[in-house]
Amino acid sequence: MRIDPTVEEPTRELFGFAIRSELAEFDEKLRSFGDDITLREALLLAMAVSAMVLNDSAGGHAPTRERLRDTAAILAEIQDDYTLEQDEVYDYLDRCVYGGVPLTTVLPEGAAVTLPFVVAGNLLGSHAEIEKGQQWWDYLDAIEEELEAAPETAEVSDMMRGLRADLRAADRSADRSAERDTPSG
Amino acid sequence: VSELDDLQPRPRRAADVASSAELVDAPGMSLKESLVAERTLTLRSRLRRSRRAGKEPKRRRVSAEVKISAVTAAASIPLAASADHLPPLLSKVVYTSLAVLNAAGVGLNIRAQLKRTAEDADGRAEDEDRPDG
Repeated sequence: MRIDPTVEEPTRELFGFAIRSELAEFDEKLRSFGDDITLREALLLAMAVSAMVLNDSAGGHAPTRERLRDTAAILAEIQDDYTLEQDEVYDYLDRCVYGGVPLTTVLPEGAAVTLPFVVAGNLLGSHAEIEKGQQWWDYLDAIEEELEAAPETAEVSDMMRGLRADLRAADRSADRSAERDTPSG
Repeated sequence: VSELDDLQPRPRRAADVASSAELVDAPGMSLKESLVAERTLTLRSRLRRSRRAGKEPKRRRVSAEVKISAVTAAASIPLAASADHLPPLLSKVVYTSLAVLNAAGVGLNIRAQLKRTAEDADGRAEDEDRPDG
C-alpha cells in the first residue's frame, strides 16, 4: 500500500489536531482538502492506521468483538475535551474498519468524515509507549513503514483502480450538475 | 441543527470526565472490569502526555535499506488465498487493506457534503446578519 505524501501530510496533521484537541484547526484542515480523492485516501489511511494500532495491541491479530467493545469504552472515557460516543466508536471499528461496511451506512454524515481521523488520533496518542520515549508520531512512522512494506495484491490494486475511477466519475457528474444549476448569461 | 455544522467533535463537559479514583474504586468491580479500569488509566495518562508533546514533525524518510529488504521479503512470500497463512505482519496489513478499501470505497460523496456544509454555514451567516423584523 503506497502512501501518497500529499495524503499523508494532512492526515498526520489531523491526527495531531485531534490529539491536542485543537478542534477549530481540525475543522479547517478537513475543509482544506482539495478534492474528494485525496480526502477519501486520507480516510483510508486513518482507518488502516486504526486497524494497525488495534491489531498491534491485540498481539498481531484482529481484535475480538469484546476487545473492540472495551476499546470503544476506553476511548470514550479517556478523552477529556470532546465527546466520543462509545456505541458510535464501536460500530465504526467493528463494521467499517473490520467489517468493510461503507462509512455512511454506519455513521451519520458528519461523523463519517470526522470519526476516522479522531479515532486514529486518539488510538495513536494513547497507545504509543511514551513512557519508553516513543511519541505518537514515532508510532505512526512505524505503522506507515509496515503498511508500505506490504505487498499490494492484485485484489487491492483492482479495488484502488475501481475506487479512483468511481471518484473521477462522481466528480465529473457533480461538475455537470453544477454547470446545469448555474444560470447562464 | 445539521450534523454537518461543524466538522469536529462536540466539546465534553469537564463534569463528565471520571477521576482516576472513580475509575478504579468502583465497588463490586469484577476482575475483568478492574483490568479494563487499569488499562483506561494507562491509556488516559499516555493520551494526556501525548497532548502535551507538541506539534508533530513531518514523516521521517524511510531508509532505502529498510524499504528494499521489506519489499524483497514480501515479494518472496507467495500470497495465499487466506490471509491466515501469511506471517502476522503481512496478514494484518493485507486484511486491513481489503477491509478499509471496502469501507471507504462505496457511497461516500464527501466533497458534496463539504460543499453543502459550507453553503449551509454561509446561509446561516447571512440570516444572522439580517436585522430582525
